[in-house]
Amino acid sequence: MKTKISKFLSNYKGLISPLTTIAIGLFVGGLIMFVTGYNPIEGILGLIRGGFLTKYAIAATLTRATPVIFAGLSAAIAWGSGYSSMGAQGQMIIGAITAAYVAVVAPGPDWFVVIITLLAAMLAGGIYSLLSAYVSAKYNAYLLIITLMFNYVADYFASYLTNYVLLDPFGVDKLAIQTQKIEGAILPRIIAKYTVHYGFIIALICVVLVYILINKTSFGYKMRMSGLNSNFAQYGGIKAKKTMYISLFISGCIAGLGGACEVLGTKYRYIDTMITSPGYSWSGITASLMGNYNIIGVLFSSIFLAGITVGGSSIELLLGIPSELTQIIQGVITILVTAKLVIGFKKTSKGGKRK
Amino acid sequence: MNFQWSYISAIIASTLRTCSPILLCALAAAICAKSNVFNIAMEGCLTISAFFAILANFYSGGNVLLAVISGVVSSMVVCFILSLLIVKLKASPVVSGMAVNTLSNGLTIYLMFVFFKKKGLIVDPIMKGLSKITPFFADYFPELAQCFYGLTIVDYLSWIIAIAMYILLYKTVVGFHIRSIGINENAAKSLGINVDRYKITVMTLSGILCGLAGVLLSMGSVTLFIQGISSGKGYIAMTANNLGASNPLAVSLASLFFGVCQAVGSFLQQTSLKGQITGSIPYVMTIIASIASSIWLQKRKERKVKEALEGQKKND
Amino acid sequence: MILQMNNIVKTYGNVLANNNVSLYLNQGEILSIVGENGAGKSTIMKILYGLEKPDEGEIIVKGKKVSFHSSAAAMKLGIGMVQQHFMLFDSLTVAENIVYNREKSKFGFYDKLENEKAVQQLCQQYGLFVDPKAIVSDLPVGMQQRVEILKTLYQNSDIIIFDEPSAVLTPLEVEELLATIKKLAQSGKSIILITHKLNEVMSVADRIVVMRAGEVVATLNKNDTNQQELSMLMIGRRIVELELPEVNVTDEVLKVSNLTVGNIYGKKSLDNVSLSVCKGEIVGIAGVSGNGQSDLIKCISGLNQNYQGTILINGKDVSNKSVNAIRKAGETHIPEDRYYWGSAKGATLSDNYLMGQHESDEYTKYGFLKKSKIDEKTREIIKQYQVKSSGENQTISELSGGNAQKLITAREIERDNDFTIACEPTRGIDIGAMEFVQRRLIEKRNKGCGILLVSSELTEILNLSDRIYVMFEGRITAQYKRGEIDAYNIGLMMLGGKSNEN
Repeated sequence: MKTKISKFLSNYKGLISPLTTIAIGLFVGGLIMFVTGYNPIEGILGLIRGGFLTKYAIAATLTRATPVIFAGLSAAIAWGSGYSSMGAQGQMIIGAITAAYVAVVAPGPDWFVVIITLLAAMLAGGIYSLLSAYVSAKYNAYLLIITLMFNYVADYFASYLTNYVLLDPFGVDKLAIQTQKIEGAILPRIIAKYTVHYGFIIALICVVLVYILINKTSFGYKMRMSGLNSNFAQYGGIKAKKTMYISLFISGCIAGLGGACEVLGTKYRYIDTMITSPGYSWSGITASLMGNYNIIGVLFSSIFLAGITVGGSSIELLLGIPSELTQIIQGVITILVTAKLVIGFKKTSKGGKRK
Repeated sequence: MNFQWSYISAIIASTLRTCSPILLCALAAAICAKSNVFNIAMEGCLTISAFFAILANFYSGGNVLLAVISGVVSSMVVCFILSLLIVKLKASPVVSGMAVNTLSNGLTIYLMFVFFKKKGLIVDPIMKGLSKITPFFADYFPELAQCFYGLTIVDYLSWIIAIAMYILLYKTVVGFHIRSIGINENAAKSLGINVDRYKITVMTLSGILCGLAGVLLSMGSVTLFIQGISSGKGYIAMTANNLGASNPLAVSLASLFFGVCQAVGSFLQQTSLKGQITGSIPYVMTIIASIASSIWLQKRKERKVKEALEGQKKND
Repeated sequence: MILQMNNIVKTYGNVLANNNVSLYLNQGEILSIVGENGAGKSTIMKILYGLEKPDEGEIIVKGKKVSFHSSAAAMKLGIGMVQQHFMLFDSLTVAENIVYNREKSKFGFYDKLENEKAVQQLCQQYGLFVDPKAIVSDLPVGMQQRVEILKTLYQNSDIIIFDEPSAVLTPLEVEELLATIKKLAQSGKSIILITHKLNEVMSVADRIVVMRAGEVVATLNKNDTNQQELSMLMIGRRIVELELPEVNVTDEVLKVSNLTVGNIYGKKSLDNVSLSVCKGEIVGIAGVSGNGQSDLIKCISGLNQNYQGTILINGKDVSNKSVNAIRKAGETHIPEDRYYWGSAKGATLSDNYLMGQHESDEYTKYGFLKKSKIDEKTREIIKQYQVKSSGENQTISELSGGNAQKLITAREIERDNDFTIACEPTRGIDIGAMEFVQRRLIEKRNKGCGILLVSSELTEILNLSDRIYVMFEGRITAQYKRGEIDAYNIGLMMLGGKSNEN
């Protein structure tokens, strides 16, 4: 029996620590609900049911997961190459506003406009990322802070454009500040009844492409080695700066694409703060951390985080528990991962046995 | 003439008001940097402290002292926990600090909903702000006193803390030990200093400073709590700390610079410039200041090398 | 007897660093501990200074059996150490460094004047003068060392350990240091001096402990011995001759001319070094580590691109060129430090094996990695070199140091290229694999590759090299052909002396 368990453990070793981490994260969430006077079991179950257990829930989760996957891929590329960029948010904003503009003005058939729009958004996100990379590398400034500042600037910039340059005063929603509606050049829903749109398919394609890039190509090898040990990379003849610029450019492209998909797939226009307030970028970074920069791990972590967020909205609606609970769970999970608390827990239990 | 002075003095007063939270956070970053811990959680501490100050304020029916204590202690606890994660569990300071920042955002809104049954904004006439102090010379020099309009005791305290921290770091034995850890941690360890304990203490102390800053945000010029109340001030403070090379006096000057940026930004809001442009001024200036300081440092380094080489030649 | 260490045993993993080491120290005596790299000198001193915990054995200080686990505790017992890499606060003043953690203060305030006065007094008491107000980083190395010595004196240490104190000093500074050490002993301090340099030992030591392979092989009075005997005892092992078949030595594959590297303060780590390696020969660099070998390798491999002089590889000028350009010119390189430079701990064995060939046609096509081919090759290497692992997908951090070294060495020598730098190719690997690696190096040479061999194992240098350069203090001090010189004489040369045959 014991050997069977240990064999099982060694086979699924990769799964155990994420699952334990998630379990502890949910437990802490439950504890907070309990302390604040809600029924934790009802809450946790509601979270899971609302995020994963009905067709509508799954559709909503996948819709929400789409931008998170893009942000997660973007972060996995940057952080996996050893650069702590927090810039996904700004790059998504730039991508989204670019998409909202190009999709309206570009001529040609709809499918063509969609492609042009996506490419333009990627390019815009990539260049915005390069810009922050340049400032950081050239002036020896901390990339983390620079990218954060770039996020604020992008937010204000997009807000300015939406308010004064691209504003559609006859938008559907009178309260929101928004750009003109995109008519034909949109990413349609996969099944008309459900919100999930072709952007999710694009996200999956990106997962595959990024997986291939990182694991199967020579350049991906350079990125991974730079991230793991920059001295080793230098010793092996890998040019650090070139690798940094290219990987941060790609990271920015993917974030920009994510912003565009959100515009073309859900809102059909850019609405002020549509990227910032749902916190896609931080979910993406958490996902990449949970997946340990492993691309497949990022995919599943993104879907999980999106699921509990969707579940969070549902428990707020049904049980009156504030949806921000999921932000707390997400933060707790991040801390558990970075402090290696789960692995530490395993170690001590092993030591205990020996005695 | 008179009209202009009232503008200028208003900008000065506004600069001083917006400067103090940044200054307090920058001092927190500075003392952490001096002892070789990387604290990026100022942003989260600001939010937490601002919220708990308001919470206590509301439930005590406007007891300002209790509110201040509540804000400061909450931020202190957060920093203490974070220090344990970083120092004892060797968690990545960047990741765990950022996690604290988002977690505080989620937690405050969650609790806001739990206690006030709404999200977004808490404002209530029962809550009292920090009392504004009229300068003692107001009667004699009313024009000058205008420059200090609306400053609270914590604003004044922030400048006293800056000087006190300078004295602590550069004149006392404890400060000497804190700085030594930043210079050469191993040497400090080898001479019998309990480096971990120092780091945890310093980080907890930095939590108190961020706590004061948070109290200023929610109970300073206005008395309210709103989602996103910290608006990047914690990160700007980190840049102020970098610009001032973690020396409390230089950091104060850098914070003042960012205070000016914010004050000018909000002043320009009244002109024809759009809010989105004026709002981005502090962040753009942060980027520009980082670039400028790097160029300046590079030049200084080059000069030093040159001097060393010339000195070498003379010796030969 | 002020200090006794009895039957100390210390192991790191499988390596026995100290085997049953015993030594004692009398008051006012200068005891010197000599031995090659890896003989266990540093380990025994780390134990004495509380930096390492012995597995077995006892330490008796001033008649009391003690046990301590930190340098601060060692200090309390009166044991001070002047470390090879100074433990100083560079941007602080001399006085601040010396009084650290024993400051004179008034109400918690650091009393600058009093502290400086105390340091001044200390300087006078021992005749070791240095300006208490000076900033440490502005001082020359010799003065910084003096600060370290004063630090131990301020802590009231009775036993002062010097770890390779002359390694970083100029000759003049060395003389001053030796005078200081004598003076300290005369004033009643007991000194332990760890060094490679036998002339220094002969000039100051009262007694000498010789260590080899983790054991004490002899304890001698200075007056009963001489440099020759000491160096014999240090090296001590018999040398197994490896066959080097005659090979046509053809054109130069590496030519280094007038290579000079200096820091901004003018200390030269490489001084006008010229050397060459031809196709089909192994050229050894013999020298005590820290005499410029690392700097030389960094320049040749492109890790340092800021030096004077020219380097040609395969006739191509690669002076100040990038690592990539140099590798493209046909170089491979077994790095000195297997974890700092040589591998990425979190990466798999096959990823680690790929480095340097990640753009070669053999393992890539249109920018894609030929994964199965890489894995296959890695498996082959694992088998050939007996790398103990669970397979090519294991991460290298899970391997022992020796096994990781095998993979790194294999990566750099299993290539069809013209020139290889081999730094410590057998460090930490077991005897069987060591001979295998050495044979592979010779086979590579026989195929016409030029090899530059740097090793702290003198045996390895003598066994494998067609030619040998001796490096001392950043210069090439001698050059020999195979068989022209024996271990004993080259040992003397490495220690900065003159060989008997010249």
